[in-house]
Amino acid sequence: MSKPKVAVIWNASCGGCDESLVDIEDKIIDLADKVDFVLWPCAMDFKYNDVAAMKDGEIDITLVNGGIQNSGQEKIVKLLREKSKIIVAYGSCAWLGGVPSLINLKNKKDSFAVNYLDCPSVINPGKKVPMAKSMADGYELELPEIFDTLYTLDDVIDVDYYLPGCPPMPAMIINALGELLGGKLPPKGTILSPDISLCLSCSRNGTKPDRMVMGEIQRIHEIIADPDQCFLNQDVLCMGPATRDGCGYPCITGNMPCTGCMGPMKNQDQGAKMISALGGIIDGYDEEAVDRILDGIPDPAGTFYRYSTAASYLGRRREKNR
Amino acid sequence: MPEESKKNKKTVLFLCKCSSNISDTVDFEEIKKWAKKQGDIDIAAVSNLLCSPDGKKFYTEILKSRDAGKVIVAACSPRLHEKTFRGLAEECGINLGMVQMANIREQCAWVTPDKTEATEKAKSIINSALNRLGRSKEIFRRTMKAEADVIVIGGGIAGMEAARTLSRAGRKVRLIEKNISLGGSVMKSEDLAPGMECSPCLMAPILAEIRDDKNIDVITKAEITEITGFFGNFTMKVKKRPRYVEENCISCEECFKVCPVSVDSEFHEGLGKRKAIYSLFPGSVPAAAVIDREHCLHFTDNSCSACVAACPFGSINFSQEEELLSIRAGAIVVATGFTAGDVSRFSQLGHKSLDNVITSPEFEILSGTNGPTGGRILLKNGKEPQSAAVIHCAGSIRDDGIPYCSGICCTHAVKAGVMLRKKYPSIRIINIHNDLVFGTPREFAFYREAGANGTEFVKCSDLASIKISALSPAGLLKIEGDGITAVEADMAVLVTGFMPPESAADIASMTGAELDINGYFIPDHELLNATGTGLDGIYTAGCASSPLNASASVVQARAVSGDILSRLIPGKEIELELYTSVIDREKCAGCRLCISSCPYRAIYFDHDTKVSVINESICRGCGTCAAACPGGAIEANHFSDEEICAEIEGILHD
Repeated sequence: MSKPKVAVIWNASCGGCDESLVDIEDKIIDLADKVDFVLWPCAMDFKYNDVAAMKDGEIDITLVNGGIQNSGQEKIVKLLREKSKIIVAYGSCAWLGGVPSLINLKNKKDSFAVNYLDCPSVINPGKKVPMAKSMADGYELELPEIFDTLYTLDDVIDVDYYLPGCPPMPAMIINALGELLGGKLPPKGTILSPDISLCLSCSRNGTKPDRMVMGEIQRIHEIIADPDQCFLNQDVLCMGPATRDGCGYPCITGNMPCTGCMGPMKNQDQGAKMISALGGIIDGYDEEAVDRILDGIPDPAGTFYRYSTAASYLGRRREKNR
Repeated sequence: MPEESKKNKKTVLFLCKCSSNISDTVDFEEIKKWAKKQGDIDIAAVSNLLCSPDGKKFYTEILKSRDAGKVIVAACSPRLHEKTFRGLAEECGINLGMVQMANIREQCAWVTPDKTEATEKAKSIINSALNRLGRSKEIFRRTMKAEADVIVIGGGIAGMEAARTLSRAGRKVRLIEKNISLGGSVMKSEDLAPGMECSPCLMAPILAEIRDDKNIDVITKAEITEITGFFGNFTMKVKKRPRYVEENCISCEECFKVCPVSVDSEFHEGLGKRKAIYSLFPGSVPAAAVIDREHCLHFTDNSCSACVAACPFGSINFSQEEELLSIRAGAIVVATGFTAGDVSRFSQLGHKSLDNVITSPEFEILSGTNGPTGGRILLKNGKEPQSAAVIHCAGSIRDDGIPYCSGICCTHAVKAGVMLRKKYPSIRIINIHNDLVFGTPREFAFYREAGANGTEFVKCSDLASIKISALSPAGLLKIEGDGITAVEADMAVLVTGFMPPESAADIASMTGAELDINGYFIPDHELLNATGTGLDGIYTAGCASSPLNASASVVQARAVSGDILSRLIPGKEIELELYTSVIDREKCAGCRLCISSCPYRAIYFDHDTKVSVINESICRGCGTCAAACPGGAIEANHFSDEEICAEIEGILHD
């Protein structure tokens, strides 16, 4: 009997998801024994043409990490969709857009300006920026077209399952692959972590007062954090309440507040939810006092929507009609 | 009802013309045609005026005869008639949740003049209601048991009035007072303006009535330590401090004569003396005297027991102990009164530093027959005053004092002159004011009459500029200020404003009722429920919500009593809010952030099951917690995301 075929592909992401697969340690050897990798650009040498030559649905599971930000990524995930029985949005970028999707608060032009023109360490006298088509030595060169908006994977193709995390934790990966390869398929669309907030399992939840109030907001480097107290109770923003359980809270154990990488509960907008929750606990008598407290959040988008801008109510910043 | 028969029930659309209010701009024939094409509407019925007696009959007849299960009423705002049509539908056996209003009057006919546009808009609004109705769940009325007893905090005129009004209806009332006996601020006045009734004479029968009332349990020297619960079911913990004098004391005052200690009397604003065993005034309720533990020689150095020997009733009991009471009640009336504004920080007014400069509360107590001088107002040198200046708004309407106008002190200011003239007919009275505020025609007439009788009214352009100095050697006071020629007078009365007492803030924090920036309780609704607070069952009367005179305080006390009597009826259960929020225990991670978000304190944390729980008898269904729950574990009943999204989709679709 032939082994199940597995593909792994990397889009608009940092590469951490690819690394997380290796991070399952010796289990990767078991995995390599049990499955045939048919595409894993980061680790193995296969060509896209090999995939194109496969029959539809021939790949059992494809793990897609990263959001979709250019035409090349769009093309390969559409191809993989045709060839795969199961598509897993692997990691928070594929599911929600992730950190790269903060670019949706700007646009391509602004991002090119920052990266290729205005950046102090860049010398670019010709003011060249990436273009889909360009001429060099009389040849026309073609590169994937970069989009103005970063899309989540399910904006572009049909997705079967979602594995959250930045990156997903080893135990979650092993569980998820075990389940999917074992044929125990959960309902389509399932997010493969508990649909309940991190506070449920957090070791510090018991230290919280019933009636929580925040009279100021400090950043973690501004205080010496008590290693046992709920961060919110120490006036430090922790995204845990609006974030899924299942990671085993390694950040909290390392005395750092949750930044929300596991994403929101089902059908919720992570940032909007956390902002609404703060609305109830910010302790300011009038607007001025509230403003003063909120000054403690210098980067609201990066705090509340760090991993989910593309999938959020914000989606992207609308350009004004010119 | 079996599920199967429910399924066959009809969906009925009522279209109300509202005479011609709606039908002038919405084409009803077109709507009917459109409705026929919507698969989900079985019957479309047009009425001229659905809320009229004929209309209601038409409504119920159709519901009964056509086997209706779901109803859309396309008419006016749900604020007007949702209750009406839900109630009627309920009588026809249709669940409350299955009746949906489509507001095609205020949100359509009245604001969309073009007939074609209005008709299209009406279709969208009806479609929205129809779409929502598809996701609506049934709503059931619920009731719960309630206590009919009442707690009244504050034994001033407002608190006493509430207590005796409630008692007359047979209610058990606990009247809680922090002082040693009842009476409050009104007891410290001699006459009440503008009628100039004798205040102690008015109060005496009220005090006696309360003393003899078996329904009213007076708890004095009380400190409230905890208030929990909700409308119909409050629990209050009260510390009752010892008097060291038993209840059989009739205040014969024999002990006062022998007590060797003399200290400044608080009741007399520090202008008179009292003993270490004392009562506030003759005829106090409760009658029993009190031993001031701080000054009594028995407690300080065990050197005296003169009162024990003098007491003919054996009432002295040095070993009395503090009692901790736990009281249950259905409603709480907060009648905490006021404290007078403080002028000590305004040194240029000369209070305490200059002779013959007194505040209005000091003036009140000095003019009282139960006061330290038996009602005589004399200068420091023992002479009668020939002239007096009355300074309005002392320490008020300034950012560093009371920042607002109390609204009732101008009448007090006029009264001071009137009382002085009554004692010394030839006295010259000069009232120095900026604005003048009189709340009623009678108060205004009182002011005009004082003017006619010789009181001079001098307008100062800025009362904060008033400076009082002593003119030696005559002993006269000189009062200077912007826009006035300097006034010379034998004495000056500084009329202070009204402030909430500190105890109001304690009660607010214990109950969660909100205070405004000045420390007054914020009314539930300024016009419609001025004596309610944001928390159902916590009421205010008198100065707790704003400065009020005695008459208005009594009116409020009676209003509160009426509201309580109409809502808390012994043996009758209270109806709970229809649309409460609900926490899904399976999805609640116990983060507790909802608890602070609830303006009604309806949510508590269950430490056994580690989830937050909504007390449905307090919840008013505002939905704040549903928005705030970061885990999406809370849903507002009847306003779920699903229902709201369905409504929006219905509007947006063709």
